[in-house]
Amino acid sequence: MASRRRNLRALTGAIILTAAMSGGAAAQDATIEDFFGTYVGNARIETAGEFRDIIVAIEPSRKGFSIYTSTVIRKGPVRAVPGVKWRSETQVFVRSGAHDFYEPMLRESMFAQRRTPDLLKGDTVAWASIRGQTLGVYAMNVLDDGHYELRVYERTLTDLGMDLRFIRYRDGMALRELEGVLARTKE
Amino acid sequence: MRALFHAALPGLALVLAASTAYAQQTLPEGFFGQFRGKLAVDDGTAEGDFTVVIRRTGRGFAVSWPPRISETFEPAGRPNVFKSVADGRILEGDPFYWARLDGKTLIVYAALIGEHGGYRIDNYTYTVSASDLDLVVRQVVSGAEPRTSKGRLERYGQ
Repeated sequence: MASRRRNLRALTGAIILTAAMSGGAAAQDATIEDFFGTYVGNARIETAGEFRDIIVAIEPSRKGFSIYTSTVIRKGPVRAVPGVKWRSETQVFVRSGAHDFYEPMLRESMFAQRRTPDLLKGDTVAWASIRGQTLGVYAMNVLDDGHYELRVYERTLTDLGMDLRFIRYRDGMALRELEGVLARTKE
Repeated sequence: MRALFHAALPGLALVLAASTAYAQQTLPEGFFGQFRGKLAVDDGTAEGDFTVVIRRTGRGFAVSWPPRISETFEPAGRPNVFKSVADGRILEGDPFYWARLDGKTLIVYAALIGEHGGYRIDNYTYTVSASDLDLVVRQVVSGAEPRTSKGRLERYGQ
């Protein structure tokens, strides 16, 4: 236990470093309300030569927010080709109790029991936070063989609307990177 | 003679079984000891001293490294993956440690989520080289480009 306390003290420096590098929660940080809206645009994965047509809708939800993302995956300039792929997902995040970040909302069920995710039992640890003008959504896993994967989705407010960046890290190496530009739609 | 041979067989099987289990629960001999050396960031921006101590424990091994971290690892129930005996709740701000063994390479991981959602994940890759260790550290930190540092740590104690 004493060793644990020592570790935490030692890591305080790392936490301060992280807060400093991430900007912490500063007065000039955007609020989640600043992100509410619908954005359309496109993105590119440079290494794969792939393109994405993307729609993002960020809306308020109880105690937090939801992000809807629609993605059309295409290899060339034309979207209407046989076998074109499309996927969509909605993520809902709620304000985390003691911390200045958001956690995924768990489906409410009379049988569901909230428990701490265990990375070494295959659970995903996910969270979202705002740093400066960037809304970051993060998901981390430890794979069966012990490697880790961290998926970073960052959406940064711009005059046009939003810049999008996705990076997947595996053991500290960036495996896949996507960058895109979206415009905020008018109501 | 034959009776003696037959009598020895179960013992031999036991020793073999025990050594197989032992190999999965701890590290190859070359990892244990005290090592120190210089660690330099790849882009040349920083350099510093690094000392690591790796020792056996009852069910696994313990690693101590700067600034003053000391973690004990034991088998995690997956081949060559080890968990910290301290049950770090990462979303509560606790650091989360684990390790994996890949032949002559040990990778120790440290992950942390700060109170504002900033993150830092370090992996320390130690590879046995003669009686020393080669070390590569990769750091992924929110708001910064990933950073790699390398060094060679010489054995200075058992």
